[in-house]
Amino acid sequence: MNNKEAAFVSSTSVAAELFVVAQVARDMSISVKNAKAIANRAGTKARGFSPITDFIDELSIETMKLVNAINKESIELSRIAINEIRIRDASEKFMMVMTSASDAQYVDSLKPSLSNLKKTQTAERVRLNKFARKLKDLMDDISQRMAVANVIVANSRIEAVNAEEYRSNLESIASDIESSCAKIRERVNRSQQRLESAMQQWKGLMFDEGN
Amino acid sequence: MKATKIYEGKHEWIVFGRDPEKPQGIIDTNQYLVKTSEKAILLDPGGIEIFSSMLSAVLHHVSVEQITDLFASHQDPDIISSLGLWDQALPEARLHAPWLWEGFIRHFGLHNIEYVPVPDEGSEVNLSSVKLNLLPAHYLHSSGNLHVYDPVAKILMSGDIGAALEPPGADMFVEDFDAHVDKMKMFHQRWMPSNRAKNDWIRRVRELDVEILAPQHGRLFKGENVTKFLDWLEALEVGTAIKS
Repeated sequence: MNNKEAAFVSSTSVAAELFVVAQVARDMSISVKNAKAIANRAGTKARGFSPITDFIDELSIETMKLVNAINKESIELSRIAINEIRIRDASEKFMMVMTSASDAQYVDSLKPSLSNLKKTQTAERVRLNKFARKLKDLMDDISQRMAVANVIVANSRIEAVNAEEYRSNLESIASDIESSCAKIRERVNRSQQRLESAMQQWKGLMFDEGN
Repeated sequence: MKATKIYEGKHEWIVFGRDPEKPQGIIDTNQYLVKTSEKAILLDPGGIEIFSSMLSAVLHHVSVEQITDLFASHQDPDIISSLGLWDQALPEARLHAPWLWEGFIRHFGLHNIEYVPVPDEGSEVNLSSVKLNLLPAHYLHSSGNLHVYDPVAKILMSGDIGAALEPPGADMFVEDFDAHVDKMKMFHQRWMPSNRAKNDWIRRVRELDVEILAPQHGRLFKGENVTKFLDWLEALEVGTAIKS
C-alpha cells in the first residue's frame, strides 16, 4: 500500500475502530441498568449508588452519540481524502499533457482547467484539516468522559461496601464498567493514533509535492 | 497517439488510436473527434489509462474550450472511464449517452459535465451547423447502445460493431476484407448477444448512405468494404456462448 492509499484507508479505519466503542458503550449502559435495579432492591443500603448509576448511564448514552458523530465525520473525512487524491491525479495528468503536448497549437487552453484544479485541491486540503481537527476534538471529548467515569466508578466501589448482601453484585458491576471504560479508552487512543498517522502521511505527500 | 483525418469539408472527422504509450494488456481503442470552426465533440473518448495521450493528441486539433460535447455509445470502461478526468478538463461540456446507463456512468465521476440522457429511439447533437444523428444500436453489444451517423460526411461511428482484435500498429483502414474477417469473427460472435438486434441494425444501416464505417476497435471500413461488412455480419451467427 503506498502513502496515498494508506492515508485515506487510515481515516476510514477510524470509523471501524470506533464501531467497537459504540458496542462497548452499549454494554456499559446495560450494566448500569442492572446496577440501578440492584440498587433499587437494596433500598437504603445502596442509597449512594443511584446517582452514580444515573450519571454513568447518561455518560454511556452520550458516548454512543459521540461515536455516531465521529462515524459521520470520519466517513466525510475519508470522502474528502479520496476526492483530494482524484483531483491530485487529474492535476498530475494535466501537467503531463502540458509537457508532452508542449508543441501542440492549443496546449495553453488547458491552463485555466489546471489552475481551477489547483484551487479546488487547496480548498479540499483546508477541509481535510478542518475535519481532522473536528474528529480529534470529538475523540478527546470521549477520553475526558472516560477519565471522569473512572473517578465515579471508584466512588461506586466505596458505596458498594455499604450495600451488605448486595455488595458483591454491585462490585462486580463496578468492575464491568471499569473494564468497559478501559476498552473505550484503548480504542479511542488507537483511533487517535490512526488519525494522527493519516494526517502525517497526508502532510508528507503535500511536502513531497513541494506544497 | 496516431491521429488520422478521415473527413475534411466544412467540418472534420479525426480518429485517434494506435497509442504506442498505451499500457500493455488493455485493448486498443479508436476515439473520434468531430470539429467545426466553433465546436467539437469527442466520441467514445476512451479509458482512464489513455487519457493523457488522448488529451495531448486532441490539443493539436482543438482548444479545450472548443470541446463542448462528449458522446458515450455505452457504459464500458474502454469507452468512458476517463470521464472523471474530462469532467475536470471540460467542466462546461455535455455528455450524450444512453439514458439507461446514467446511474452507472456517473460512477466514473461526474460533477461538472451535464449528462444528457439519450432516449431509446435516439436523438441528435447539433454542433454549430453540423447535425449528428444518434442512432439506437441496443444489444450491440450493450443493452443501451448508440451509434453516431453524420449524413454530410457519410460516416457511421459504429461502436463495437465492426471491431477487430489486432496486434499494435495496425493500419487505420481495411484493405483486404477477406483477410480481415478472421480478426473480427470471434469478437462479433462472442460480444454480440442478439441475432435479432444485429439484423434489425443491418436493415436500418442499409437505408443510410455510409461511406465510412468507423468502429471503436481495429480498422475502419470504406466504400465497398462497408457493404461487404454488412453482408458478412448478416450471415454471421452471434451470441455463440450459449451452446444449447
